[in-house]
Amino acid sequence: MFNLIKNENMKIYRRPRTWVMFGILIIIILLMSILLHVYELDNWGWVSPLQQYAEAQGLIYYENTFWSNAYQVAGLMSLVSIFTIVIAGDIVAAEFSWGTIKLLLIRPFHRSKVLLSKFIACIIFALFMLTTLFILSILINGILKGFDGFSASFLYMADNGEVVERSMMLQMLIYFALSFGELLMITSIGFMIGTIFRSSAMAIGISMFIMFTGSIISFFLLRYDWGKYSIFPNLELTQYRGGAALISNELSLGFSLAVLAVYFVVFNVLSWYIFSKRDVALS
Amino acid sequence: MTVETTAVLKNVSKQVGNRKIIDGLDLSVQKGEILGLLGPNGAGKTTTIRMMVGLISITEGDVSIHGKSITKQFEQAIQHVGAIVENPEMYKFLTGYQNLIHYARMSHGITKERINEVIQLVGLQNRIHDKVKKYSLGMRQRLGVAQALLHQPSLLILDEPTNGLDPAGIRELRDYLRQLVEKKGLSVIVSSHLLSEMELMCDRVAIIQEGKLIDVRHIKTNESVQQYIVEVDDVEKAKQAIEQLEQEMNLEMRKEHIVIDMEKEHVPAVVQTLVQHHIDIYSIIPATKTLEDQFLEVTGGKEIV
Repeated sequence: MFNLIKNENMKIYRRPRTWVMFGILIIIILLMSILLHVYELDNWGWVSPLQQYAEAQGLIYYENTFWSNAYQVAGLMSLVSIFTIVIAGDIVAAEFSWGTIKLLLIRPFHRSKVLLSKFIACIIFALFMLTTLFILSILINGILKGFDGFSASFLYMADNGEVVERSMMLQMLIYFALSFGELLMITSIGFMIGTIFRSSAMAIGISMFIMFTGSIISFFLLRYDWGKYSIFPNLELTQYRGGAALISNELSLGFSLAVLAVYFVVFNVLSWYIFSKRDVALS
Repeated sequence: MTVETTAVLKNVSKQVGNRKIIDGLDLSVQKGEILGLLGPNGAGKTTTIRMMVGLISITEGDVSIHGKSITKQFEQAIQHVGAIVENPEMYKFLTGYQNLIHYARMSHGITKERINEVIQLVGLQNRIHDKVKKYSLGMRQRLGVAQALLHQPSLLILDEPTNGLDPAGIRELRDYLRQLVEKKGLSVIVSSHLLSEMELMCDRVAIIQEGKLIDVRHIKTNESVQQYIVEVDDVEKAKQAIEQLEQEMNLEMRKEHIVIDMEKEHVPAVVQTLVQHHIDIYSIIPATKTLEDQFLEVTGGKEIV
């Protein structure tokens, strides 16, 4: 099993496009950080209530430190999603279009093991990219602006109107974890479509469509009672990074996680079933 | 003498929708033989081969390799098998060596030495660290063979292995297969729709048509009764002379020669008689029935290719 994952990794990282993706990600992180640093938004001395609260408590508010820009640059998570979709949608479909699937499936490993190794390789890729994003956004913005205020606090208003305070480092980790959850779902979607249709283009296209039109579809679906059980309003887990979801007060992190867990199982069982049963090229 | 069987197909059928593509195929492959699957396009050769390696599910019946069922004990059964299914498709963005590493990781106990040995065997040592996209088709075919032999399988399955190969490449593959069978006692199954090629390559040929096994023929054995074409100056006289021999042989008169079905031992007697009767003999040619003739015979002259 470990060898299978090694193989999948070799097939991902020996391809130049993977490193092009990393290159693009790093360049955009750099550009965005520099732009944010140079054209720092002047808020005309307006101080938000949360900032006032922080100052009254004697806390370092994150918006006054490099964390502010780092937090914004970490929002490039959508770029990581796109790249993860490309990898996940392609990893099964490409074997079919290359014809290598025939040689891959006649080895002494059950198909479920082959599929699992591919899924794990996608997750490793997603994690690798996400880690790159978070470490670089902290590092670059820290270098640009200085690491003063490393122990700054993040504040948000909870449902009951109370202000919750946590360290910015913890907030970044929470953001990271939520992003990872989102990537896990996106990977499953791309993986499933790629497995069912054996077409990378289709998998990448449909997954991106779901990702980008998700919020529009959510608004529409949430008008119905059952809408909150659909995948769309729940997919964007990072909406919970600053407390409750803005889109609807019926949603909560726990609820979304539960809904997504069901979809996660359904998608992957479907991928597995179809991949295991499929006749390879009966024509 | 008992013959070891490497693989057995027992009443194998494949149904897609209402149509039976493969219908009750019974076949076995012996140790150390090259078995050809011959049939027109669409007869079910590729389907049969893909069922043998578990790429396609089997509707009815089973395939066993060294006594292990390909459906129920897939991992144990497939480890004895090396295969090239159609053109050897490799990862083009990897080098030949990386491709071999990839497949080596998927079998147990393949050492670096073994990989190098196989590379030497197929003669790719000079180009093995080049990307596969720079390979010619012949080189890819060799890499395909290397990949199939890596784990020292006892059954080699080749589906249309000569597609896209030039005559030299085909010959090379043929010699190579023969060598493997003789030296290592491998069993080989080859499918093709090219008759002449199968004739040169195989020990036995199974003829498949419309999903059914029509016939299994030995290629290399000389049948005792053979046809001889005897060219003489006077056909009528020759016929009378031969008929006096009172041997059981079938005569057929042509314009300038007689076609005789007889055993090899009778050839000298025939020649002697003809000479005694002062009949001039220009030539005696054994008319080997080509596989094509046999094929057309059993498939009822239906067009091939």
